[in-house]
Amino acid sequence: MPNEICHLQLVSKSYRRADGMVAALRDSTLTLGSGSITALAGPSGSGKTTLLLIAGGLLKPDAGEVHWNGDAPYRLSADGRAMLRSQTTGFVFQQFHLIPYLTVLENVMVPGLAHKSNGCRTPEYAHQLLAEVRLAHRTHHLPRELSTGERQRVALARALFNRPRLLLADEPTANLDDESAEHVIQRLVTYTTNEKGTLLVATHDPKLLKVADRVVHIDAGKLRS
Amino acid sequence: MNGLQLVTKEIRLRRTNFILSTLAVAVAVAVGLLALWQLRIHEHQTREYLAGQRTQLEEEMKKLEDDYRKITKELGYNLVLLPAKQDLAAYYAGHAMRMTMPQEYVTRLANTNLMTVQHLLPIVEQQTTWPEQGDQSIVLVGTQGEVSAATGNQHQKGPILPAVAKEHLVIGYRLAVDGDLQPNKRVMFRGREFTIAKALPERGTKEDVTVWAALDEAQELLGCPQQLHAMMALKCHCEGNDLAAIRASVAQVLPDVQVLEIADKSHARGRARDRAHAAAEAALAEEAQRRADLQLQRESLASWLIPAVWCSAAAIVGVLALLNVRERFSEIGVLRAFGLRAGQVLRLVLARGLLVGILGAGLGLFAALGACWLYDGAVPLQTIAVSPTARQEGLLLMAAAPILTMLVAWPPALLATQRDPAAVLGQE
Repeated sequence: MPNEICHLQLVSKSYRRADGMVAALRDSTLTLGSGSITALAGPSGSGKTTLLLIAGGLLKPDAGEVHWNGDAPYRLSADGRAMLRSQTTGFVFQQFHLIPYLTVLENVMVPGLAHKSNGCRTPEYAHQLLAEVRLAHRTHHLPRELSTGERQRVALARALFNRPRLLLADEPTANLDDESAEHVIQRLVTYTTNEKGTLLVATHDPKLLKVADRVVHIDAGKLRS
Repeated sequence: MNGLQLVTKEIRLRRTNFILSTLAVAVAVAVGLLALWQLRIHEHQTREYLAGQRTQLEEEMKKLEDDYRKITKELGYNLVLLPAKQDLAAYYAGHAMRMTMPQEYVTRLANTNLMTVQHLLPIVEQQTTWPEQGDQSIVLVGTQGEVSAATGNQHQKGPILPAVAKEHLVIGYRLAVDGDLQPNKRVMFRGREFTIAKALPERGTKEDVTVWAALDEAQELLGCPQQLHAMMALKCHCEGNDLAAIRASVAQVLPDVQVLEIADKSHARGRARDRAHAAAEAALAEEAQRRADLQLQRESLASWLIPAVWCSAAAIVGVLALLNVRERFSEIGVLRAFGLRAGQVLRLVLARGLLVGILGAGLGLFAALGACWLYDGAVPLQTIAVSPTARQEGLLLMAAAPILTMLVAWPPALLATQRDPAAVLGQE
């Protein structure tokens, strides 16, 4: 695939449970090209989140290789991987994981903490992102003062703050009303088209599946296009 | 936004945990400071008290010494130096002293500056009669007045017995009454004319029938010019100055002289003074020992109390830090997911521990100062201010608090950095 941003080669991951080992992902291979939207569809527990975490450099696979633009994150130390992650990826978690004592603006700027110099990661850019997800009026609010949809949009703005080349989103529209979901989808499309970002999104949302360049189905840890 | 802001904002959210941790450190610091300060205050008070008592004792002893000098002046001498051949049985029986020694002995002894004897009084003494008073039996004592053994001819604080002027007599009570002899009356004594200088009050001793005359006149009257029957002296009331030592020192100057001690009231008073001094010294030593024991007890208490309180505080702070980190797994996962390195996360957790330590130390200091103030006003605070040890210990304890809180925050901080972010963030 031209302009390959992320490549997963025969990746497997199992978890130890009380009743024995459970395979969450089995010999999965996936390539994500620059500026593309890839949707992961599948039932709950099928391995979507595991695939996202592995692709995002957060969860080391038991077997297989992951490459980002030629770099192999899992061959680096934990700190090396963290540094590479901060330069490469952004995450939108299903449960948002906003930091409760930080304001909306500060939550958006959290990825900037990993860097010694701000570069493009300025408060102005954070304000711009919040305006794009229609939360300009909420910048100084705490997460607990926001609705679920607003929290989801803050999580999206935060994921975009470092201008990642690879954005991984886990059910980003699951908790949103139609209007909010539409805005989030529009922003994600803008991210891939205007900013040439690559999006891997786990979703059940038909609207999101509709804008995806490719839909990959996952079931019992096995990928199928 | 920076790491410090992140820490302070987190503290604001989870203030209960932070306040409890800080209070635990404050209590440990306050208890530690109070335990150490009370030791230093007690030490200081003991030093002051014992120094005061020592000064008071020395003043009292000076007063007793002066009293003793005055008493001995009133009561007489406590040593007598006799010619070596003087029959002591006759002397003790009150018989006349037959043997004499050269008068120059007194100046020889005085000029040696011997410290063991003072106030030398050369005398001749003989039982005789007063023919002009109906052959009345008397004791004639001739004296030239006192020669100081310690400083030459004149004693600093004045002679015990003044000299009798030439051609004058001092007479005892009985003689004055029987002969109707008044001061300034001119009388004949053994063929020579004298003026009564003084008539002594009744003493109930042989002094009532004694006549004192100038030494050389008495020597002529008794037919022993330039000779002495005895030298009276005052024993120096110094430590270790026993009779054997006096005898030894006198024998070096006057080998043919024997030294006797007269057990008189002054002697007893001197011993009483010694006993008072010894009792006061013993009381002082006992008080010093009591205070030293008390100090030891307090040090013993502090030696387990401070570690116990600090260990408890460390355990509380450690558990609270662990609870805090467990509560923050999600946000730490997010921070790690967005690229914060382990060291950065470690610093965030340790910075919180550092703040707990610094604030706890400050609060503990104020609490300890307040407790001192409530207990005894400004006095203990002044003692602490002037005691370098108390200040150093205080600073050491204050510095130890943040170090301790960072140490106990270290394991939870490590746990936070080693926790796989995916394990938290993947729990959807």
